[in-house]
This record gives sequence, C-alpha cells and structure tokens, in this order.
Amino acid sequence: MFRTLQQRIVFLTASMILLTGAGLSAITLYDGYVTVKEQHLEKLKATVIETGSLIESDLYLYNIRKLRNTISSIRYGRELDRIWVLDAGGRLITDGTKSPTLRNRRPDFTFIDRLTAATKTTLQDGENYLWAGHPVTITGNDAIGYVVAATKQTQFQSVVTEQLWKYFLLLAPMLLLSVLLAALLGWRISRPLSEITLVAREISRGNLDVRAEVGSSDEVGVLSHTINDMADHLSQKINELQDSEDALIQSKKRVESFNQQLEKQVEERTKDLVKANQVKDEFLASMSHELRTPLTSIIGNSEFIAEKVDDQEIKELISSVEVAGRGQLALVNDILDMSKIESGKFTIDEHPYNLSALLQDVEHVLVTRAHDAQLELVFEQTSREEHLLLGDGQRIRQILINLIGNAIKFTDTGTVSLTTHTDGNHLFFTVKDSGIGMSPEILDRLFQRFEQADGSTSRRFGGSGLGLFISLNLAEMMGGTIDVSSQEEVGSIFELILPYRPSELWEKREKKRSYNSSVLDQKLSGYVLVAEDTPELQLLERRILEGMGLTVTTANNGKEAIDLASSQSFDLILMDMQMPEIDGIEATKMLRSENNQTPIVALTANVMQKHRDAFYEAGCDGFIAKPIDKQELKRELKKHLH
Amino acid sequence: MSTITPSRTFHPMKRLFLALLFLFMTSSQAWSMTITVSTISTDPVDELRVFKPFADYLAHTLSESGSDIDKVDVKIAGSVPQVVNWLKRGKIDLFIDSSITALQVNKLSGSQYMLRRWKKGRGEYRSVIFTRADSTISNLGDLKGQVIAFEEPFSTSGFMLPAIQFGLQGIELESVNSPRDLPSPNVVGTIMAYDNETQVTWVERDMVAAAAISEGDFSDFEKTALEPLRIVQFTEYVPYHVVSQRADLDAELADQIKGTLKRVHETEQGRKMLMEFERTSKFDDIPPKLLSNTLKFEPHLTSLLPVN
Repeated sequence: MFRTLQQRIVFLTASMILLTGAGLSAITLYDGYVTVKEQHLEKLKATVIETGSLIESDLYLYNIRKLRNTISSIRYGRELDRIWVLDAGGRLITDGTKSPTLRNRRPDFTFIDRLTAATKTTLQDGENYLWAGHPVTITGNDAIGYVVAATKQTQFQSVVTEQLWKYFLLLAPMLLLSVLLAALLGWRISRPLSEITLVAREISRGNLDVRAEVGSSDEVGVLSHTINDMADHLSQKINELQDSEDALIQSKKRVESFNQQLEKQVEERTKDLVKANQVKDEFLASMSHELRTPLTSIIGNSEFIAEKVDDQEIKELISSVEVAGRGQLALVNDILDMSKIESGKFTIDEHPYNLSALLQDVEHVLVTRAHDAQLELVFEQTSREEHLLLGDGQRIRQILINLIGNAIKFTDTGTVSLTTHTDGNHLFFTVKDSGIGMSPEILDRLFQRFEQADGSTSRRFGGSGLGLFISLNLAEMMGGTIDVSSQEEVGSIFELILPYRPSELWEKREKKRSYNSSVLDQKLSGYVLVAEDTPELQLLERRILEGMGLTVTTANNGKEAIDLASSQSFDLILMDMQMPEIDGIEATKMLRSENNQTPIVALTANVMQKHRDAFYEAGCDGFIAKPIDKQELKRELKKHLH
Repeated sequence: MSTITPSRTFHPMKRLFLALLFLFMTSSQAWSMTITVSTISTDPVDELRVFKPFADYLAHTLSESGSDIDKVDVKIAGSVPQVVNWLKRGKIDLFIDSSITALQVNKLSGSQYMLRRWKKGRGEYRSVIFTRADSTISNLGDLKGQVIAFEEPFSTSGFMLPAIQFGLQGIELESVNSPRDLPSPNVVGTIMAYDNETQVTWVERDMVAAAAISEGDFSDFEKTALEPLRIVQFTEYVPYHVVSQRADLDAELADQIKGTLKRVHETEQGRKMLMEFERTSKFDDIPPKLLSNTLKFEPHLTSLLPVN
C-alpha cells in the first residue's frame, strides 16, 4: 500500500496525529457535552424557579394575558424550546402564545407525570428534551400550577457538532501541517537512503566506482560511510581476484600448453610403445615358433634315440641333450609368459576343470623327476570334489609344476608333498619340502623377476629365475596369491591360495591312470594321417607313431590333408594347427563339412584354452600339446584306435 | 432745513432671494405630505409592528398613484379619548378599529366611516354572551348579582356590543374590582379582563358567571375549552373593522386614500401585504344594512357606556 519509506512516515505521523487529535477531541467533546448539559439543566432549574415566583399572582388570578406575556418574554429571552404554565392538574394554561392548541390539555410527556407526582422541582435528561419543572405554591400550600421548561437535546448535539467543526477546523490545518512536516521528514530520511540504495544497486551490478555522499554524521551518514568502505573493500578484493585470475589464466595456459606438449609426447611415446610392443610381440611369437620347432625336434629325437640305443654312455649323453632341450623349452615358455604379463596381454581362460585329473597330470609330469632325484613325491587330496571347478586349469597346473619342480630341485633328500584342501571359500595347494630352505632376506625378494636364492643357485641348480615371478602373477590374476614360509636347512612351504569356485558340472570319476612302462610298451595298430608342415617334426612324429606300431601317412599342409583324407581311409588324423595354404582348424572344418567322420586329434604348440576350444568347435576329437609327450600321445591315440 | 430719513426699503436682490425662498418652502410643503394612521391597543409595540408595513405600502401606493402623500405614519393610542383628542387636533388622519369603537370615536370627534376592513377575512361579526354549559343561567337577566367578564372598554365585540345589549334589555351594569367580587343583587357586575383568552378561562374555571367575546373567537375557544360552554345571547351583526377619517380631512385626499385602499387587494403585492396585516382580505364600502345596524347603537353609546 505504502511502497516508499516517505509514504509510511507520512501515513504513520498523520495517523498518530489524527488518532491523538480525535481521541482528545472525543474526550473533550464528551466532557463538554456532559458539562454543558449539566449547566443547562441548572439554568433550566433556575428559570422555572424564577418564573414560578414571577407568575404566582397571575396564575392565582388566571390572568392569562400577563402570564402569556411573561412566559413569552422568558421563552424568547432564554432560548427555550418549551416553557409552559400548567394548572394544578398538569393542563396547559399558556405556552406564551395566544390560544395554544394544547390549551387545557395535559402534554403527553412522562416528565409531566413525574413532576405532578413529585410536586417539587424536578429535572430530567430525557430522550429528546432536557426538562425542568417547578411547582407554584402560595404560602406552602398545594401547588396551584407548574412551570415547565425544556430544551431539545438536538441543541446540545448541535453544540457538539459545532464544537466538532471547531476541532476539525483546528485539527485539519494541524494535520495538514503535520503531513507536510512528515513528508519533509520522510524526504529528508528517504532521499539519502534512496541515494544510498542507488549506489548499493550500482555496486551490486558491478559498478564499484560509485560512492555514496556522506552528508551527515547520523545513522544514514554511517550507513553511507559503511557502504563506501564496503565498495572500497570489494573493489580491492575484486582487483586482487582479478590479478589472481589473470595469474591463474596464465598458469592455466602454460599448464595447458605443457599438457598439450606432454600429451603429444605421450601420444608419440604411446605410439612408439605400441609399435615397440607390436614389434616385440611379433618378435616373441616368431622367436617362440622358431625356438619351439627345433626344440620339439631335439627333445623328441633325443627321446627316440635314447630308446633305440643300448649303450649306457650314449643314453646318458642323449638324455642330457633332452634335458637341455626341455630346459630351453621351459625358458622360452617362461620368457613368453613374462612378456605377456608385463604387457598386460596375459589372459586367464576360465573353464570348468577336473581338479583330480589336474593333480594326476602334475604328478605324472613330476614323478619321474622326483624319482630321478631319489625323493619321495607325495600327493594328498583331503577331499574329493564332487563338481568340476571353475578356473584356468592350465595355469594352475603350470604354477603347481613350478612350485613342486622347485621343491624337487632344492631338496637333496626326503620328501616333497602336495596337499590340496578347501575351506569352502578358498582352494589351498600346499607344497612342502625338506630342502635347503631360505633365509628371510631371500624370502623378501623371492618373487622378483630373475631372482633366485643367491647367485650361486643358478649356477648350482640352474633355472631362469622367472618361475616364481610368473607363478605369483598368475595366482594374483586368478584372484589368489602364493604364501611362502621357509627355514634354512629345514625346508620350505609354498601355498597357492585360489578362490574356491565349484561349477554345476559333476566331476567324472576316472580310474587312476597308470604311468608304468607297460603303457609305452603296448603296441597300437591302424592308419594315421599326420598333417605337419615342419619336415623335422613330420619325421619325428612318423618315427614315434611308427614306433607305436601305426602306419603313418604325412601331409605337408591342410590342403594335402584334406585331399588324402578324402581319397584314403585313415583310422585317425593328427592335425597341426599352423600350416600353410589351409591351417588345421580350417581343414578340420572342411573335412567335417564333407561328412568325414575320421577321428581328428589336434597336435599343436598353441596350448591356450581358446585354441583348444577352436579345435573342438571345428570338430576335433582330442588335443595334444607340443612338445610331444609320448605317453600322453599314446593314451590319446588309444581312445580313438581300436 | 430739512433732513432726509432713509427709507426701510429692501434691496432688489434681497427681494429676489426672499421670493425664491418662499417659493421653495411652499413647494416643498406641497411635494412632501404625510398622513397618520392610528388604532387603540394596550400593546402599542405589537400594534406598531402590525400597522407599519401597511402604512408603508399605503404611502408607496399613494405616491405612485400621483398623490402628494409620500409618507404614512402610525400612532397607537391607549384609549378612545386619546384618539378623539388626536383627531380633533389633526394629529391623526385615519382611525382603523372595530366598528362600534369607531362609532364612538366618530361621535366624539366628528370623524366619519370611510371603508370596511375585512380583518381576518371577515366582513361582519357579532358578539356572544356565554356561560359554562352546566350553568343555570339561561338569559341575561339571570346574571344579576353575578359577574360578567368583558374584554376591554374600547373592544366592540368584547365590551361595546354586549354592554349595549344589556342596556337594550334594561339591565344595569356595575363595575367590580376582582372577578371574585360580587355586585349588588339587582345589577350585573362587570370586570375587564383585557384579554379574551382570560375571559374564557375565567368562565371555564368558574371565576365569573359569563363572558362576552366575538362569535368567531368563541368558536375557536370552544374547541379547546376546559369545560363545555353555552351561548346565552347573540348581538346584532356589525362590520368587523372599519376605517374612519378625520372630520376635516381634505375631500380630494380622502378620495385618493379611499380609492387606493379599495384597490389594494387587486395586486399580488397588495394581497401579500394585506395577508400580513392581520389576514385582511380587502377594503370596501360598508354595506347599507350593516351601516344601519351599527348606527342603531349610536344613541346608547353615551348613555350606557362610560368613557374611559
């Protein structure tokens, strides 16, 4: 309603004055009204008493003319609304006029009843009139008549109205003056506030150059001063902030420039690294292939020669060649694994695996080595698994062979044991030996690359020093770890701990395999097609298979294999993977697509699970890894040859 | 040797000055004439208030009609003898009052009726003698030994007509000092109330046996009477009010005045003035019958009425 301070001040001041004035006026008016009425009643009383004494004799004689004249003069002289002379019965004798209409009538007013009943001077503040009446008596006898005088109440109301007008006429200029003064006061207060508001608004809009005029030392002046101080302070802070911001922007630009350079460098380095990695991978793949192929030949042929000769000295020489070859193969495998781990390309292939079969495989691989070292190798599985377990069985096998192999290597006498158990959450493989043990210092750096117990270890026991590094990394990639505790001259305990994750597949019960010499000695019969592109391996495989009593036909690539398998009948096909023209997987697919039902067993150096899966998906019936384990090969062949 | 005595002759210039002065004085007298109107009243101030507008209007009308009169004065007399005296000495020119009072004045001063005045719209009236209805009085004779209240000695209706009525019936009147006084048994006691309302009140309250007022006033008072009233006697009709002229008033002037007064009611302004002049409706000649009735009272005026 009142938007400005000035309007509010004017309104409040005017209201205050008006209310005060009205209140005082009302009190004064009421007081005056009551007083005037009381005074008037007293006057009326005096009038009727005085008139009574004046008209005594005329009333007694009923001298109407004189009564009329007297009453008329009193009536007009005292401004009475009514003045009557009544007889003893209250009837009108005269009201000061000639032949009044009420002549001889009793006026119809309750006051007349009161007066004639009281027979004494009577006053009444009536509804419409102020009344006074006085009995006229002669020598104290009964009243011979009455004098009645009355004044209309409206007369007093008019007095009040008149007084009200006076107050109004007095108050109105005062109110007007007050409003003007209040307006002036409001203007004096609001003007500097408005100016301050404008300044504050300008400051809020960011114009910090404006300042309020400090015109007085009162609150408004202090406010102006404070706003100016605030503006100064704000201006200073903003300048500081601006400087800081400028500095920040410069820094940011420098950082961005530096970052761009860095990013460029990183990008270039990354490209270089990627390229280097690619080169490295290609190199390693090439090296692996180039090393594996002759090693397979060396190992295979050494075994073959050892079996053919009877001279013990030659046997030992050939055996040392085989051992050296296997050492080289292990080294190649370790280097490849380490390379993959470091480049982050090592992947874990999780599939359901048979724990018991895995342990049997490990035992089979190591039992000969333990026997050669004249050690007792003990495998203990505390509980049989009902289901196949989820995990990378190949890598678990690799870790266990590494750990047990190390135990055999560093134990002169006594026992090497593997205990397997689970607590429901984890699977524990504990390898315990009674070997030379290790000091705490050696334990601290045991899992580092190329690390061995000491410099003499490699000289004494051989090895690349990569085994434990790879094992620990593999364990960690499978969500597990390897704990080790050791005591010098007492022995060591390595514990592979992996997540225990049973699948929903049931474990097949297999009879414990027999790895005695009779397996190797059993002869097989049948026609076997060997698809192998490497001539040395082709020859080796022919010799091994023929040694087993089989008739061998060779193909140099997948295409030849398909042609031969399509034109001739074979009992089994051994299929290499990497071959020119048509590789093994493709050849298998094509044979199966031609409805060729000859059992096909993959014989390959690609031992990753995904390679196994690819072969099985193509239609292979078995899988044998290179280098060739003759026992494993023969066992696989027996499955498919009758 | 002879001596020459200067003769007491006026210088010619002086003669001219005196002649002009004479002419001025005589002419100014002719240009500014005043007449005076009078009436009798016990309340001269009230009457003056009533008569003054009438007098002013009369002067204005006369002046406009070409009369030499340009001013009309008013003199209120307190009694018949005073009026008679003023008329005889030429102090007043016209007397306006009730017809019998005027008749008495005419008889004593030689003045004459000029016109009838229709005061309160009434051309004629008569008096009544009345008592309380419960009174045993049935005729004027029954009032012997009792008191009758008259109004005042110069009132036609309130005194002269009823008093003459008593005289006509051979009943003697005797003045008493108080309404409660009793006269001799063979006469009727009279007392002046000087107010008709007082007269009626005295009868109502049994202070006097009877009273006499005009018939019209009686009708008014009867409406507000304290007790029922009864008329015992009516008088003859006479003009209500009349205008009398001084005996030696210039006939031409008298005609001018008479003519003017008779035409007053013909104008709107005149009627308005007449209404304020006690509701007078007009002035006209006194009808012969009424004049005859009035003149019949003349012989009794001096014999029966004391002149106050």
